[in-house]
Amino acid sequence: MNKTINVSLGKQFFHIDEEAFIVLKNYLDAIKRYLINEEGRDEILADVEARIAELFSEKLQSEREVVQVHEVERVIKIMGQPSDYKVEQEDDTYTNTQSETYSNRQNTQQSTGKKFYRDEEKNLLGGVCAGLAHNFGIDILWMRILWMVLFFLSYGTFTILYVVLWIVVPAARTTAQKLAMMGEPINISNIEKKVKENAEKATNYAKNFDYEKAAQNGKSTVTRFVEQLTEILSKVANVLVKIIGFILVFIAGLSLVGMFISFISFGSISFLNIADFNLSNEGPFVFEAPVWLQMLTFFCIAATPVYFLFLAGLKIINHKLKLFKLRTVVILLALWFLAIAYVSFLGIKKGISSNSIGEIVEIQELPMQTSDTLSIKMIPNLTFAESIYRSSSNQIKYDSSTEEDILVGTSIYFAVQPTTDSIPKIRVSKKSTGSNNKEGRLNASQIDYQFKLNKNELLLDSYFTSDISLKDEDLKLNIILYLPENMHFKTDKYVSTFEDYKYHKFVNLNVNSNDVYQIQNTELICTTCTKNEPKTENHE
Amino acid sequence: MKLENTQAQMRKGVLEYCILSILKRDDAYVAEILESLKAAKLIVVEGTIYPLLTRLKNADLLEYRWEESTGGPPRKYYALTQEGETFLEALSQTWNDLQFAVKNITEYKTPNHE
Repeated sequence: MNKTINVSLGKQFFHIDEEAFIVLKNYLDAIKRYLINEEGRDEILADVEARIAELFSEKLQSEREVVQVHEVERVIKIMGQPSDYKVEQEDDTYTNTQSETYSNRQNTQQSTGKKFYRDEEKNLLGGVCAGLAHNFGIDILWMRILWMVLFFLSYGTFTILYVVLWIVVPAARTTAQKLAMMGEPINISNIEKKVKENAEKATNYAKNFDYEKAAQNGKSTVTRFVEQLTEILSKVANVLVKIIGFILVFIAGLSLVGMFISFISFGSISFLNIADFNLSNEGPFVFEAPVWLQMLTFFCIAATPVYFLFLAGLKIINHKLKLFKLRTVVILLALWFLAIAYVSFLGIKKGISSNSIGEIVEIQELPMQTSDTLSIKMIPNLTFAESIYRSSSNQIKYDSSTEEDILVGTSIYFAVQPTTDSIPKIRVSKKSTGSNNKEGRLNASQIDYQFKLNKNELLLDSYFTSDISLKDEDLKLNIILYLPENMHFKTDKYVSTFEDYKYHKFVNLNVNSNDVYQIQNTELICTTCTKNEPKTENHE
Repeated sequence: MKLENTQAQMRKGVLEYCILSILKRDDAYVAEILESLKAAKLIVVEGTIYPLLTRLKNADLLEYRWEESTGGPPRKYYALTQEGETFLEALSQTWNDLQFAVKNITEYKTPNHE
């Protein structure tokens, strides 16, 4: 059983099924909306209704028969979709606006310039940005981004300007003001258009509102209060989320710009061979690949997630933006993974290339009287280092004597050991990494280290030099001084800086260079120290 | 550039011309005009015609009168006005020129067909 409704359609009377009525009503309403700016809308609708009535009566056997849904659908099929009623496509809106501006030119008393009003219909806060955007004829989003940028650049002082504008600039309330804000000429047809649009909006709103009102009447004050509170909170949350979106866009945008600039500058410098970054072992360009390629790779790795953050921020600000195109996303992700894979490959390659250590050992006797006290001194090179210390990293220095760059290392480990021989000996072990032992040894042989015996003074360089091609290898020098038992020796204060703690029994030499040591029964004894006890006790 | 837009534009001008031509022969009400247009396959759905008719009427090219019908409410009978006839003559001239021009151009482009 179905309810039927009596309708008058094109001055004719019909019984119509309730469901069919709804379909027909929606259809007519849709046409009405499509023809919103059409001059003779009511007349057209009357004609359409008359025609529909005619089509109904053709089919109906008697006046008592009820119009069913399928009948309405048949008629709609004949009449066409609402969009078919619009004869003109977008090109006609162009001619429309043209004729409007034309007519406006004739009515010279009207101003064509835009006026600055706040747009409270598209506001986020006071509608200042929206108003400015209309005034400058740009999208609101850009105006808001500009404001955010100015806000950050000015450390927040632009907030004051915003508030001032909020207070000073009037909101566009009347139709004339709204038209002036948009820069549309204020003439009757435009006002009518605007009013019609608003009326349409208002009716729709009223329709929905009635239901809500009716529903709300049954609710208690508390529920209503809670609902209002929720609404306010959700609005606040909405604003907060948008602010987060702005911050995201701002930060990500700046990072992208920064990364891009550094990529362009470093990358192009390397690519054009203006400067050779390979000489430097500072920074991230440690791999054996052109710097511009490494730069591009790092740029990809770093910029891709930031770019997505940027898009996410834009999306938060405006839900309607369609930013994530599948193809772009896939390409970017693929590039990103490719870059990561490339860096991993370079890293592994570098790891493999330096995993073997080659060693070259030189042993030299020190011809001197064992009764003399041996004085051990570390000699710095002030050209290569401003202070004397041990460092495991190599440094590239300019050697003014040869006018060439030179690699300087201070990774020197010094130790004293006892020997049963009657004459002191010095053992210098040079170590270097390489892709295999042979290469490591070859690298080690390039390490240049000098020491000399001057009467009873042993002068050890506090550095070694090498070819700059070894800048990425781990270079290391072990010096062991073998002294006969009971031979006296003393060290200067720098020696302790280079002590090799592997031989802990013989370290912790006093920094006081006046103290004299000696090795007795494989123990290190300080003969002049005030406490006069074996230094080794400290370690036991 | 959408095909539908171009087609709609082409059809729109022709449609106005045809409606006026139909009404030049004899006064007619909407269903009769629709019949002719449908028979010539110039329109598929009827909805298109109503805004056009109203516009032509508002432009004073058409006028209408109410006439009693046998078994229903009175019908709107459309007729050409004096202005409409002048307009139609101008359109006919344009149409002939256009037809000639289009024929010339399209046939020149495909000489193989002759």
